[in-house]
Amino acid sequence: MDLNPALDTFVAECRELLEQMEQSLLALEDQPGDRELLDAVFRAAHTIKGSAGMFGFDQMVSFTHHLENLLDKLRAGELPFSSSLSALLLRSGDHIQSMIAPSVAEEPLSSELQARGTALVAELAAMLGGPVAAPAGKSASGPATSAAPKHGSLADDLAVFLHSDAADESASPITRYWRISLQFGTDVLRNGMDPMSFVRYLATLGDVHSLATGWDRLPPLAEMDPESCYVDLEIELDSSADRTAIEAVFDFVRDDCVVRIAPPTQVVDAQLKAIDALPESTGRLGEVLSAVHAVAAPELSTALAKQASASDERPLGQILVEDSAVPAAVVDAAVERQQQSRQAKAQDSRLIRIDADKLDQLINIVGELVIAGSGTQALAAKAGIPDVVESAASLLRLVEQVRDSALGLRMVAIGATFQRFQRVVRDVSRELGKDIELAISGAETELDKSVVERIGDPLMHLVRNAMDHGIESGMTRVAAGKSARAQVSLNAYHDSGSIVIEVGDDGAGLNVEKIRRKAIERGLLAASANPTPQEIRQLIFEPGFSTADAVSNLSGRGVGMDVVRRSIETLRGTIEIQSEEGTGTTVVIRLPLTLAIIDGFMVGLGAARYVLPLDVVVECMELSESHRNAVSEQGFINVRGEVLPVLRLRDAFGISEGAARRENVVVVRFGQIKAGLVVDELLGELQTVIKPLGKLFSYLQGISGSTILGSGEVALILDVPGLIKRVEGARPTGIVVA
Amino acid sequence: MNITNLKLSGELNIYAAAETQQAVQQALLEGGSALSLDLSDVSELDTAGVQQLLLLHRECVHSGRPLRLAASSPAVDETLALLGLRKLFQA
Repeated sequence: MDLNPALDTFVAECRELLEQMEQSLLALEDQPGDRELLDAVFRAAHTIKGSAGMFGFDQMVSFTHHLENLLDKLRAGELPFSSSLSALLLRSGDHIQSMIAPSVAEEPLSSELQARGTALVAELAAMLGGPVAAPAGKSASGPATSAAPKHGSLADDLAVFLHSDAADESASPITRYWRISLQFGTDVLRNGMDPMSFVRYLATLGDVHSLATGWDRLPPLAEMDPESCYVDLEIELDSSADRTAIEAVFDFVRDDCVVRIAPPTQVVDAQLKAIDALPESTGRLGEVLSAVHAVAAPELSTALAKQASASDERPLGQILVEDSAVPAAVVDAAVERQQQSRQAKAQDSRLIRIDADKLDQLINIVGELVIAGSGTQALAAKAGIPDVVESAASLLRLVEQVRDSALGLRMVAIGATFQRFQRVVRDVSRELGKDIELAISGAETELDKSVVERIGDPLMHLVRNAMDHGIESGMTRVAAGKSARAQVSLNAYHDSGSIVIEVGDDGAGLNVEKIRRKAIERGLLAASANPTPQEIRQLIFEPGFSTADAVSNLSGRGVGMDVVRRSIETLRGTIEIQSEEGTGTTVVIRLPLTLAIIDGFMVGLGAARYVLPLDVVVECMELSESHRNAVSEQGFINVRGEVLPVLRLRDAFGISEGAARRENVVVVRFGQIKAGLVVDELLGELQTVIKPLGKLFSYLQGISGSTILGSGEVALILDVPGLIKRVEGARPTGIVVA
Repeated sequence: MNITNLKLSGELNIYAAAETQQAVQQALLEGGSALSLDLSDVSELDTAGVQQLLLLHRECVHSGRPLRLAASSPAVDETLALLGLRKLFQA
């Protein structure tokens, strides 16, 4: 597929806007009256429509248009916000989302999608409901307006449309026709003008679709002046002429006649688009509106005069909408435009969109720079020229800053990912018939974008799992003395070079005994084994394990948690479960902050160099003679009263050459576990660019990658979580590791 | 059945509006139980004239008397069609 960059931007923007729309809608469910949220929803829909229009995605445009109509009603306060309405809007958002791909690929929509679209449009129209007045706006010019045939007191007599199609007219505010309301002054006839002549003239501009004559103002017989004019005309004109041309028809009668002209919907659309396309410098409301022919000069000056007069305190936009029948949507768009052009500068400097590939390239180069920098520093140290050493040191410091900034570019807050789950929780809780709320904390915690992209699916699984299995039914909860409303929580924070993401629920917790039985039944645990409760809980991450009694369509098919664990592990992360029966379960995911560059701590084993992520290093110490014995006999050392499991890397990696005279211990910590790693030499900190190992080495345990040292040598990066697991696994537990 | 016949002729425009209104008033005062309108000799009809017809129509409706357009002319037909009033004065 050959997608041009503009389309990519369109797709990305659409998705973002739909997400925003969804979030605002969900927030609206809690605060139905919030005007800002409603505006945000409307803006999102409006922008989507505008951009889709630019690419000629007509189906998206027309669907979004229906949505927009409904939102407009909501904004005008003509419809109350209800949960059913919100559900409909959410589904409409989903529908737009599903239209993106086929539209971009220029494929026709599948019949299923089309059917769904039609159904949604019907629902939207039903919500709009009731007869909708012509888009002429509210009647503000006094009782005379009621002379329009449809509102006349002699309504029965007045239904005299040539092509009476009242049903069509009331069903939807979408019109193909210009609506022209003419309310003639009493002197028109005396001044030698006949209203009919305007109708004849209009007919030269297009097709008069319908015309209704209103005569409500006709006075009683005795008071009627035969030479005065009392009629009004309501005309629907099918014409491609613009507003100025139509207005010109009434130039001669302007002083004697109230003329209100409402453009057809597609003209409104065109005007909305034109407003979007205006250069940013266009600042004043009147300028914006006349630039897109939404208002003609005479109307504008009348409105401005009204605004200037002390008696009229309405803002210009309102005057135009109420007195000159400029569509409210157009004025809104123009006002928004006005605000945008004010904010445009500030916003421009706040956000730019960058191709992720460019960013990756930058980070790669920075990686090389870091390596080269370390090399230079090493050479400088070797040369021993103080000035050069100093210069190399300051160079390296700058390189470090560049590295941090470059990595920072990739960092995104996890909040956006978390927010997506509001919808999931809402939908799934309805599906399950449970009352569940989502609590989000630590949304501002940042992590690498590539990690964020890959964490969505595992989180989805965990959240669904928590809702389906973790949380009990409302009745069970109340019986257990808990609040009927359950909570699922998402939390994120930084902890020693990792980001920790917790998915918690306040449900029933894990039943250790049940898991144990199941594990034995599934052959995951020897019947004679005696594992700790924590070890038993971890079993739910084993392949083929599921405790759900009933298989629901959400989860419980036994292909859940092991997949989650695998995806987390491919991100060099770990997953563990904490649970207390009766009070809830928390799944703790620990992920590296970034996948590219770390601060490392280098150690030596014989001639080989190894790098540990500095974040996991707690302390280093020399391995004393007494400790040495303890290590070789028990595999534990005592550090200031704390007993730590120890792994001798020489043994672990099978290195026998050049046995060192002295050995050192690096105490590392990962999560809650501390352990000691026995190495020969401690070589200090360095910047490490992680290069993944080739597929060939993927089976290697205890190694997570490689890096190139300043000297050009290759050092292996130790997989600390993996090593710790090995130390732990050394304890006899009887768990059969699958 | 007491039917009042009203025949208007010539130019039903603003210049003749006062006369037309008198004729209409007259016809309404005659007190017939129905009205029959003959416009076959009308050569011109403008908005002022139409207003008179509308006045007649409204008064008839108010007093519950049927109004029938017994005969019309091309000029009348054209104007009533243009203003969407043909249904009101069905022959």
